[in-house]
Amino acid sequence: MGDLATFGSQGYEIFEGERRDKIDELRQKLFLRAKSAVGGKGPDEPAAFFNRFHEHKLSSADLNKVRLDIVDHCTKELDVARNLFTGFHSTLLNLVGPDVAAQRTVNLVIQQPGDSDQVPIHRDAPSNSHFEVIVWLPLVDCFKTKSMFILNKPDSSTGLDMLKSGKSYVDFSAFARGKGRDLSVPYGSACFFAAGMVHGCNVNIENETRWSLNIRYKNLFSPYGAKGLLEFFEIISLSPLSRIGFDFERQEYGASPKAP
Amino acid sequence: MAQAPKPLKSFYSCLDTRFIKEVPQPLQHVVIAHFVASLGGTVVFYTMEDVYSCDSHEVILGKVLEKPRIDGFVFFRIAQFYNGGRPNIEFLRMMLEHGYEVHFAREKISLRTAADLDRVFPIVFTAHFLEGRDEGHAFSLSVPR
Repeated sequence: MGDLATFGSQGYEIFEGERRDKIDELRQKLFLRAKSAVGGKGPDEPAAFFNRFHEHKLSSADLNKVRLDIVDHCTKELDVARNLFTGFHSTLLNLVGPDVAAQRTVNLVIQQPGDSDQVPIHRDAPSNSHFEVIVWLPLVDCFKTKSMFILNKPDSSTGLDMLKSGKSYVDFSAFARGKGRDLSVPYGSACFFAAGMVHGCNVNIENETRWSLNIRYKNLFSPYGAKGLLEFFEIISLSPLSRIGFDFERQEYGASPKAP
Repeated sequence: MAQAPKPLKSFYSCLDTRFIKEVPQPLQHVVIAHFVASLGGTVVFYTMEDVYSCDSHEVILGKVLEKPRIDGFVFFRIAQFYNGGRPNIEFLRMMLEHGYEVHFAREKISLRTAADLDRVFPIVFTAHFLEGRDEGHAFSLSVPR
């Protein structure tokens, strides 16, 4: 599943993971952390646990606490960026090349049925760089309103033109909702989309909770946006040539020629 | 028997003189203090370069040569070491070789040894290079043209 030509024409595409074991391993670790956060209650199987998470009936504040704890755990312990780079290696290699900067902190969204707390329709670039690809990884099967919607490249451009010409955000949102397509993204796959694509989500009216991660990758040497390299990204892959280049550059600074 | 609490690490902080307009001193103090707390430490003294010593780092150099009994130095951001045409890697190495940790609050980057400096060299070098390459271009501001 997944075609680079389609990504090129519409600005997004769903790709199946190449290393399902990496995705399963990541989900299992997130499941264990989440289950611990709710006192060990809930189903013993990750998909069932995540899908039925709303049955814990957490307050918004407690839900956010759980979410932030898991995000912190991901950042400190799970090396999500590298694991997903391995999980979707050839897709990412084709999109951003071998010299890769990845977002340091992964984002986690928990969208329970009926939850109207959701991010407004938007596009990441600008102010982020247009040279970023967002990897949207569901931890459960996502479909219809349990998923996200996205506009293709021509419609995203039209939406951007609307805003540039002074049309209201309300008009823009109405346009986006009319053109947006709910994505069916089964677990084990991810939606890859360019940062300029307009996207959002509807209120989840399915009877299952959506859990999804999103993380950004870009070519290390491509232009950065408001989120700079040093504050928001880390280098997770270098080509052999770039490694040699950095070794020689490092030598110019009176350092040992070979990095540890 | 309860274990005695670990003693707090102590740091000198150095604010970014060139960035005061964008991030005023009080805010730089808040950011640095929050970051230092995450390191298990506290700021015991602060200083900043004169506008004319931002490239030579003479103020901080003076402090290093005093050999203060602290764990290290915390800077607001790495750009304090972008001295004109190149990042001042040598100065950072000198501080580490004097036995001090070097931290950057904005980027949350911590250097404890010269090996750490070698490890972060690619990202620091690249960030400096890109700043020079992309400055003045619309996409470096990431706002609609």
